[in-house]
Amino acid sequence: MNNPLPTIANSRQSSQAFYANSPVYDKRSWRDVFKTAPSFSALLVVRRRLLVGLATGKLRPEAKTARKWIDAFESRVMELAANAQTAGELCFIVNTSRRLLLDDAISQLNKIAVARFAALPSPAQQLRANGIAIQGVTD
Amino acid sequence: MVINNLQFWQQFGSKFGLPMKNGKPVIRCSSLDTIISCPGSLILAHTLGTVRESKEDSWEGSWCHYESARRLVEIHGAIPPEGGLDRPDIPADYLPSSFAGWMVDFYVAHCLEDAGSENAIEVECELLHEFEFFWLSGHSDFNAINADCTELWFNDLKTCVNVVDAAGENWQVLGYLVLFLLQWPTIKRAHGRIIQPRMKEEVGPRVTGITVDENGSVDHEGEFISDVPLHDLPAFLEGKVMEALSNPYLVRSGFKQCRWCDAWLKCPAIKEEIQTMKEVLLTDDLLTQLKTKDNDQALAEVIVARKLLSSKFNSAAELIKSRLEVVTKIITESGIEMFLIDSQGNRKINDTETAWEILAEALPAEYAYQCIGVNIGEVEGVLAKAFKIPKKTTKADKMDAAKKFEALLGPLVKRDPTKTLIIKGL
Repeated sequence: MNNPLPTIANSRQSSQAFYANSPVYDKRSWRDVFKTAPSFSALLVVRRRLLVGLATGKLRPEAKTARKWIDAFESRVMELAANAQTAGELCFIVNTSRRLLLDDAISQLNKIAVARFAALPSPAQQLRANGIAIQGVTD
Repeated sequence: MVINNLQFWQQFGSKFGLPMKNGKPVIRCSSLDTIISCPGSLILAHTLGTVRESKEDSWEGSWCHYESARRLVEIHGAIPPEGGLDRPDIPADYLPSSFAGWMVDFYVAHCLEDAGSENAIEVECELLHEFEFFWLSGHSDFNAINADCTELWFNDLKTCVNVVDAAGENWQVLGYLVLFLLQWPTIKRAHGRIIQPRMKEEVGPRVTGITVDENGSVDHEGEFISDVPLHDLPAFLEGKVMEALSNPYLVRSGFKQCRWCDAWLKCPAIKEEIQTMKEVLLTDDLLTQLKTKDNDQALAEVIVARKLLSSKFNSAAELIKSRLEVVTKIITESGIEMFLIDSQGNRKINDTETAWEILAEALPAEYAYQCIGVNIGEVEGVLAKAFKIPKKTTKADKMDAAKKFEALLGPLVKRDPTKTLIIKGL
């Protein structure tokens, strides 16, 4: 993935700012917005805004445009999973995306997640690094 | 003493047939209130059999949960559970009351208040976490998370009549909060709410809430509840659950835990409670004492016992009817016989539309509109007023409201055959 992402700390700081500037039923490209969402939670928020636009009839895309949105959403999910900074973040992305993506995309995401998971500290290590000690969470 | 021996739990679980996962008991957030107050209910419910409310009673609640989740997904872009929303197990022709529709409106409006347009929302979310000696699972009705994954809102819809504990003192809410926290450790502030639209405002607030961050918890009125910081809550809850699980044979009856307990039918603590109530109610001395000595404490105990047990007795009466359908007669140890006889059910109006037309024609407008609900009791009351006749009289030749009703709407009334419970020898 040739996609320089901000660090997780920076991405959290910038998510709110990014979201504040995301489109509200105007003519800006939703595809670009999906592509640049700095974190998975920000991506979900934008996705919801898009869905509400569709449900209320404020957005009426052609089939071709809708397909581009779906593709942009999917590919951003893959990028964020491939660059997840913690196992917890990766689990959040995978668990939630399983409910949002089509089967083919889920298999692709699973492959990316397995590869990324191997390179990350375990959830227990991560929690300890954050100063959270939870009895029962083992390596 | 806390039992921290995994082998004990494996043997314990298989002995009593508890829901287990990888050798550890699975505790649901919804049962935390019961288990923490009365740990023995866990094994009683799984070994002695459970008694559930009738299916019909649960239809309205199931419909409200489904309808609000459906609306949040289809109109407000919420993330549905894996595989989509499950249609509840209610008949396809089930028609919810307008009040049920109002409850959904009320709940969804509050959810959207939380979610605004700035958060991602999720409905019917399954949560599960493995602790050292048990699993904690939960099913959250609604949660919203902000764009940087640091603030969480979650709501639990309650459609029941009984007053639910406020969010600030509700173990179920704490259970959800802990599960969310363990799933998303980046959360810095969480808000949990219980939304009970059916609650009458004079009884208590329809919405109660708790907000937790690193400084502790405050409730919906801004009152400080606890200084346990957000990220210490998992360990706090784990400690409480372990304390309860380490007394697995202790049953302790009480107003709070017995209300939702599945094991009440055979619970020894409830039996003792019934025994106590009998003594309190049936001893003449005590009744005299209650009257003469102005004993508020004893009187309050009677009321508590009645409140605690009344719903259980109603359910038991329904249950024994279904048993008597099979065995025809039950005789208690003391020789009291119980059986069913065929009888006529309450009067029902078959065709309310025609009934309304007849009433609208027969009565002046101001009286007719009082009958718009086409409720038999109400209509008889209005007929008595409109025709200035008594509601009921024993004189065969004198007109009363019941006879007038029969003359007007008799052909539209039906009575379904039913069964009445007879208790002989009491």
